[in-house]
Amino acid sequence: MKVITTLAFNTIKALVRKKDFYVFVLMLLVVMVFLSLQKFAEVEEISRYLKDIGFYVLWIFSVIIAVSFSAKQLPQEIKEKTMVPLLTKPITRMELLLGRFLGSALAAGLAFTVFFALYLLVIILRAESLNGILFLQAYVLGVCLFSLICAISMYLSLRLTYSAAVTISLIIYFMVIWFGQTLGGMILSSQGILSAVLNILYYLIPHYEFYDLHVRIVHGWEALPLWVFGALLLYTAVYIAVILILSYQQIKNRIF
Amino acid sequence: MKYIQLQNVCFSYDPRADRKTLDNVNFSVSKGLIYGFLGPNGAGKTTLLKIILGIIPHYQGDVRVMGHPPSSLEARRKVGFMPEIANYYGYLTPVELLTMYGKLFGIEPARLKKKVTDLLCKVGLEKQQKVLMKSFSKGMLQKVSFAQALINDPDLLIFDEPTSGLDPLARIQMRSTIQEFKDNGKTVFFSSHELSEIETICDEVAIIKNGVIVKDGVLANLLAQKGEGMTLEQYFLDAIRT
Repeated sequence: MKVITTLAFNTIKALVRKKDFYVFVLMLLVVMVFLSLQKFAEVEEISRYLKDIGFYVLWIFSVIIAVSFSAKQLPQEIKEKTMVPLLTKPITRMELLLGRFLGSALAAGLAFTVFFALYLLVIILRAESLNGILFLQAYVLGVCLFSLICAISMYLSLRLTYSAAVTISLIIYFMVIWFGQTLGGMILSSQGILSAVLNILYYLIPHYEFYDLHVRIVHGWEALPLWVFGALLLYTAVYIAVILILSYQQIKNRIF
Repeated sequence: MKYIQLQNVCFSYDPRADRKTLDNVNFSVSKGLIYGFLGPNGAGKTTLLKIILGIIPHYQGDVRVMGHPPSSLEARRKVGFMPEIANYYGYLTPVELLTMYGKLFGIEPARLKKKVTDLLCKVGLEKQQKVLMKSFSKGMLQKVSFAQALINDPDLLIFDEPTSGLDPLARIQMRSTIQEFKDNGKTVFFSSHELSEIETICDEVAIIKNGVIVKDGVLANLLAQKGEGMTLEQYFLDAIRT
């Protein structure tokens, strides 16, 4: 475990010492300050709209950081030839993979935490109503989502080039967000082979849309029932474990 | 005791290719020796080093490093490796890099801190120990590379072109350090293009050509067999031309 955490903290250092993260923080800060200064004569719809934009921006920034950061880890290690000295140390390839995954997930989680804290601060400053449990759930599910995105991007980076891995990770993200729920409806209205294919697809794709609680936040709805929340945590753990096993198959015999 | 032992090692990057990258390689390195590994570009030196280091996990034949399979953690704990191309994480300082590697070896924090400071003094980087490595020259990175190879106080040191990128003074220093290792009972295995360097410090050598070991043995004996006045350069050229 010590080996994994050592590699993970090394990965986080990369995020903290590179400029990309600060650019995103600054951009989000500008958006949030702009939104917090808007006054529309207490029109509730406008207030929801601003909450929605703020959440969307923080979510997208976190997705970009999670994808670009995790997809870079192993290809960069191979390209810059830091992999060889690392593999001569007493670590297994599984530990290497887990360390880099944990580091990416923690780094993405750290970025999301900073963005989320900014968002929360703006909401508090605007004296908006705040459902503490719902926000906590949104935060935890956000961390889960970005961990899952990191695992998938890292897996793709072992099969494709860095830019292809980033592009496909983002395509998967947006396809699932936009069409994930529609797919359920299509299954109900289809028959035969098409229905079977859609069913398989439905169970294979990572359901990123499950983690998005922004509609509940914007409209001030109730928090998720506890069993749903628990099931989502379990779903995340199982999905990440499967992806990491597939990733391990990719690197266990690879020659660096 | 044999620190490195290879028996009938064959390897090919492309199993369908006619020519193997390594073809029936046999040799061993005894404890306390400085062993030089020579060969022209593309002869299979780096591939063989990667097998000995456990980076290439599948090959034919048998390889033992200090009695263990090369990819085992037991073997890796006792080996220090300095690669030819010294690229390290630019966003880390030398102290952070060495500390990270030391932690991977499970060295306890207080001992590790002292070890890192001592090693950076030894390679002459004490003033740059807290500077990010992205601003380092090739020679400075080579010094970091040397220091990281020693972090676990290894019994067996494996160097791939250890003096490339170093200025003459640093080369001389490196040579004397390698000699120091030998005097302390350590074993050194290194590949190099610098024949004069190998001739100066090596006890035994192996010459590889097209994946086959064409000559190996005690350096002085090999040269003596060819008559008086034979230099390693002449010997090497004869070996790879025949």
